[in-house]
Order: sequence, then structure tokens, then C-alpha cells
Amino acid sequence: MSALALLGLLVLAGQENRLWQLELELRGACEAVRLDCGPDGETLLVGPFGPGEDRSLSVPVPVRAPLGREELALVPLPRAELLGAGPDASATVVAWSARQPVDELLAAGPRAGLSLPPAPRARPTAGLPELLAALLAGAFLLRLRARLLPTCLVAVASAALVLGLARARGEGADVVTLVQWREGSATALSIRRGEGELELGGPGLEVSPAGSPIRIEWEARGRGRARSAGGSLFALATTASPALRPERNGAERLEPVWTRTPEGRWRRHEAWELGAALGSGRDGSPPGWLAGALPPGRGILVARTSRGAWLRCLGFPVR
Amino acid sequence: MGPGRLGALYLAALAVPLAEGLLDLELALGPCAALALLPWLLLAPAPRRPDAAPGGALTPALLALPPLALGAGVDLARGAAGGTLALAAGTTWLALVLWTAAAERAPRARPAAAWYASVWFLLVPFGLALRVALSWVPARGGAEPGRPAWLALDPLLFLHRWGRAEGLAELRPAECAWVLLGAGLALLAARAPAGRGVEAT
Repeated sequence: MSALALLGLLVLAGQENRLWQLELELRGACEAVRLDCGPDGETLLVGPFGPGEDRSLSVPVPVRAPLGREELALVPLPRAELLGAGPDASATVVAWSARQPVDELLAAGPRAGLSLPPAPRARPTAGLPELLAALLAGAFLLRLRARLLPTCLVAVASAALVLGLARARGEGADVVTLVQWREGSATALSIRRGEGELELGGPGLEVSPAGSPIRIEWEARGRGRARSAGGSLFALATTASPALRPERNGAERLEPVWTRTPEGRWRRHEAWELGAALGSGRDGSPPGWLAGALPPGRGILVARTSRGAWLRCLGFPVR
Repeated sequence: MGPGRLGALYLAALAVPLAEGLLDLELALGPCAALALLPWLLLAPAPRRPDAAPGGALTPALLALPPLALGAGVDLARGAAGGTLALAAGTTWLALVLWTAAAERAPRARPAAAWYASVWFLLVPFGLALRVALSWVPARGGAEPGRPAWLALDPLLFLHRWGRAEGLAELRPAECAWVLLGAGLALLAARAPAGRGVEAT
């Protein structure tokens, strides 16, 4: 019943799982197997596979199943195509797997109110340190230009410095992790968002804009990446809800932390140490993408872990 | 080139990262590294007057390095493919070195200056005009207009090819060879031997 409720919510919210598993029988030698899902995308099962290969594999494919898990059997199976195949090689798509990874998410219950982080993110730009370093380097180079060796040294050293500083602006910007749960629930929903590319992990995969083609590169040892040109990818998984109560932080050190009262007033708290009570804080709002589209009349907690992941609790008992 | 012009070129090469970083503008649709090289490639290869004071052949290329590295760092942070970016930016920087060396050397002897000016005119402004003219020719049967690799003899066209949005993904290695060939031709022209009765200065 809860699965049906979630199914309805998913359809209403336009959230659509794009990670469905099928059974594949592979015989003989080949470099890779392409599973063509038409306009929905494809999965490339990466080899190489040896001449004596005879194995059954469970492989994820990014097909669209508009009616969800219950009607997956109605969705046509993807077509298998061997790449770099030997003379006796063959690949047969047998059927959809009886047990789908998304079953784990369905079993966790409805996720009403647990929204995906919005897709747009700021483009990395050069920061003040590298801009100042480049300007200073220019001033030195203009002054030194008559002497070749010092000019070379300053140019190369400053180039290496600004390259390293500017490049670091992109670290962590591509993947954002948000763990969301409702107060009192033992299970939280973990969402990893990647722009254009995301390592697969967890039982669910969604894409924005909905319906964008996805390409999965999958290794037979059970690892893979999803790519969607110009789209945002979301990997969904379940995890245990962090043990956070206003009187005690039983999870990990958090900084910064924001809370919202049921009346809608946001407060910013600085570091919330492990084992400590939550401080009183001062007025201040969290980043907009975490503060938007929240249910009114309920307490909210937003926090960041030392690993860079975001936490959001709906119904947090704010004092 | 004097310090004033070099300083102006340096600031122009930094203009896009500066505006994006400080003013929160979104200006670059393609690689910032290409935009960092554009001012240098526009002016450094231009033929010099015979009475121009000699400048270091390497000076513009060395001054181009920090803005180029800043642009490349931003591009990498935005997810550009490192190998392709290094190939494109490295080739363009090398072409800049060769063209600048040729432009610095050419005014020392009259035939070389004339040869270099001719090669520069044919490969740079004329190459751009030719590309524009070809883009106006209607494609036969609705086919996509071609992309002749040899047009990359023009360093500005080569820069334009990889400096557009998605330009790095479309870059072909043959185009890197053509832009270096163009720079090599310019260097050969600048080394043309003095003829009889021509005074080398």
C-alpha cells in the first residue's frame, strides 16, 4: 500500500526512476555490450570478456517506465549489440530482474516533502586570490621583461599558482549530497546530485530535465557511471537518520547549522559539536536552494557536515 | 611592444575572469583559456614598422602564461577535458611564440619584412575573410557546411574553433598541425635571405 502511495507521489511530482535492472546472458569474447534503450539512452557494459565467457549478469539500464515499478514488465526490453565481438559471441537480454534496486526505496516509505535539490548551480569562477596573483605576476613580468631568465621563472611559477588555485574552485562543486528525513523516521533519503555525470551508487537514479537521455557505463564487477549531457543526475539511496535532537548532537560535528521555527523564523547557529546541545544562534537564513519549497508550519533543521554533505530534517523540534 | 601596450594586453587577457569573478557576470560560453590568448594573438604577430624598437620575442608569450593558466584553471573547474584543453592551449601558445618570433625578426631585413607581411596578410586577415566568405556559400543539398582543417593555418581561426562553446569537443588533432605549419611558414618568411643590393640592418 505504501508502495502504491509512493508511486502516486512520484507520478504527481514528476519524479521518475531511471535505473532498472535486467538479466543478460553473455557468451563468447567481446570488447563490450551496448544495450540500446532508444531515445531514453543506453548502457555500455564494458569488458573485455574472454573467449570462454558464459555468464549471466544483472545490468542497469536507463529506460523510462512511466507507470513505475508495477508495470515495468510492459516496457520493451532493450536491444543488445556486441562491440568488438569474436565469431561465436552472443548476448541475450533475458528479462527484467525480478528484484529491482528501487524496491529498497519503495520499502522505505513515501518521500512526500523530501524534494530533490534544484538543478542549477553557480558556475565556478576565479576567486580573489588567483586574480590578485595574476595581476601581481603581470606587474612583476612587465618590470622584469628585459631579463629573460627571471621573466621565465616568474611566468611559470605564477602560472602554476593561478592554475592550481583556479582549478580548485571546481572541487566538490560537481557533486552535492543531501540527506533528508522526517523527525521520528529511522530512515533518511540520501540524494547525490551531479551535473552531467555521476557515479552510480544506491538503488535509484533520476534526471532533470525529466526524460533526458542517460548513458550508463557499467563494469561487470558492479560499478558504473551515468552521464546525461546538460542534465542533472540524482542518485537516491536510503540511510539511517542522523541522531540529532536539540539537547544533544548524537551524529557528528556540524557547521554551520540553521533552524526554522514553525512560524517561519530562521536562525543561524555556528558549530554544533558532537554530544553538545544546540546553541541559541542569531538571525540568518541558509542557502536558498535548501530553504525553498519547505512545508510551512513545521520546524526545520539544515546543517553541513565536515565532509561537505548537507543535512535537512523536516519537523525538527526547534525550541 | 612597449610596456603600455603589453600592460593593456595583459589586462585584456584577464578581463573575462576578472569580470566573472568580481562582478558575477556570465561572459564565457566557451573556454576562458582561448579568451586569454585572443588579445596576444591579435596584436603580437602583426608586422612591425622598420623603425620599431626590438622587443623580446618571448616577452608576449611569457606574459600570456599567467592569464592563460588562470583561464585554463577556470575551464578545468567547469569540467573541461584536461587533455584536449592542454593540447589546444599548448598548441596555440606555441603558435604565439613562433608568430611573435617571426614578427620580431622580420623588420631586420627588407625582403624578409615584405615576405613576412605578405604571409601574415594571407594567413591572418585574409584567412578570416576567406572563412567568412565560405560560410556565406550555400551548402549543396542542404548538407552541413564543411570545416576544412587547413583553415587552421590562421591562428585566430584555430583559436575561434576551440574557443567556442563545445569547441574543444570538436577539435581535431590535424588542426593543431595546421596552425603550427602556418606559424612555421611565418618564421620561414621572416628568415628570408637579403637579396643583392638590399641592405640588412
